[in-house]
Amino acid sequence: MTDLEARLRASLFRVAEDTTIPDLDVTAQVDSSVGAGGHTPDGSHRPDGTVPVPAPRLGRRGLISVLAVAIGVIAVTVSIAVIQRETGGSSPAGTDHPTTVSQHGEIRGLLLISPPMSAEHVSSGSIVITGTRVFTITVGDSGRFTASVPPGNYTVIGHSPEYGGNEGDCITQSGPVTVRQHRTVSVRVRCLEK
Amino acid sequence: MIVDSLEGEGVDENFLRAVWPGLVRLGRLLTGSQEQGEDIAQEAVLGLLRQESVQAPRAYLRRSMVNLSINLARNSSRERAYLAGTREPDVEASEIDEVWPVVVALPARQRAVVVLRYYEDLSEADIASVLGCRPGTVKSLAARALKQLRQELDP
Repeated sequence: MTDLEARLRASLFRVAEDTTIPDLDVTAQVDSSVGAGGHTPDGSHRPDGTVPVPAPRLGRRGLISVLAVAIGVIAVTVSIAVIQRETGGSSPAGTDHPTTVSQHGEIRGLLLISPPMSAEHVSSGSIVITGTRVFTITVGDSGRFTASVPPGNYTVIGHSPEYGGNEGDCITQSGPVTVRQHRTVSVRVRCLEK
Repeated sequence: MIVDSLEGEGVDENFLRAVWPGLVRLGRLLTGSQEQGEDIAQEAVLGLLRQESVQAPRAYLRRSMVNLSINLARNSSRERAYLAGTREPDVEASEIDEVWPVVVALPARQRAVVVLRYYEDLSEADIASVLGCRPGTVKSLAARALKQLRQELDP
């Protein structure tokens, strides 16, 4: 290995060490894939009523696993309710819920200001999620937002005081997002300054 | 690192918790960004859970991460073209050392080869399998990446 390769290797390991490891919400993700009754991650029911990848684990653990999944479902439901309260408004006020919270999916994202000649950075502001209904979320200084919404297609538009004084539309590069039951969609809402 | 590929390894909460830190670190290295690294790690996990059956989940996750990072770079490239300007890909890059900013500036496939070779310790054949190309292409990408690094660091 040459000196350059050694420096390269050392640098990569330094970056790896420097990387912040966020918590993995395994409960929500595993729960969505191993739900009792043989539902696949996209919510469809498979003919043989099994889920091949995780099913052997469930089979061995028997009743304890079923109880654990049930507790997980309750935990996720409570978490979604808490997130809804914290994000201040993913639940539409004054409208009927055609789906229960436990049937919802999640949109998680980051509001970013993208100046053309410098590094992009997070911004506070607001997010409007438009689908069959409209959800408005207040975004704090971290730029992060989370919304629990019924399955469907949504357009996510952001507004920032740093971008046209809340008048400009900040957009997702990939266009409308599709939310599925019990799934999380990650988006980046960018305010593209020209 | 997510080096070992254990055939038939079960995918459950313990497995995901075990591989998660390695996935985020690999994501950071492949994308040059903490945030984007987290995003593709999450995408890879969700992709794995969508599969009906995976023989080698770690290898599946690694391949997903590489593909997601290359797609992400392609989209970012389009965005930069739209903006007609350049942007720092990783704001903390220069705070690590003098090598990392050059790695971050490499094209996505070259960076992937560098990361898989010098961080994941994969052979050229294994890298070729991950990238879906020939070993000769891997050798060429690695050579170009090292040449670029040499030009930037040892002019």
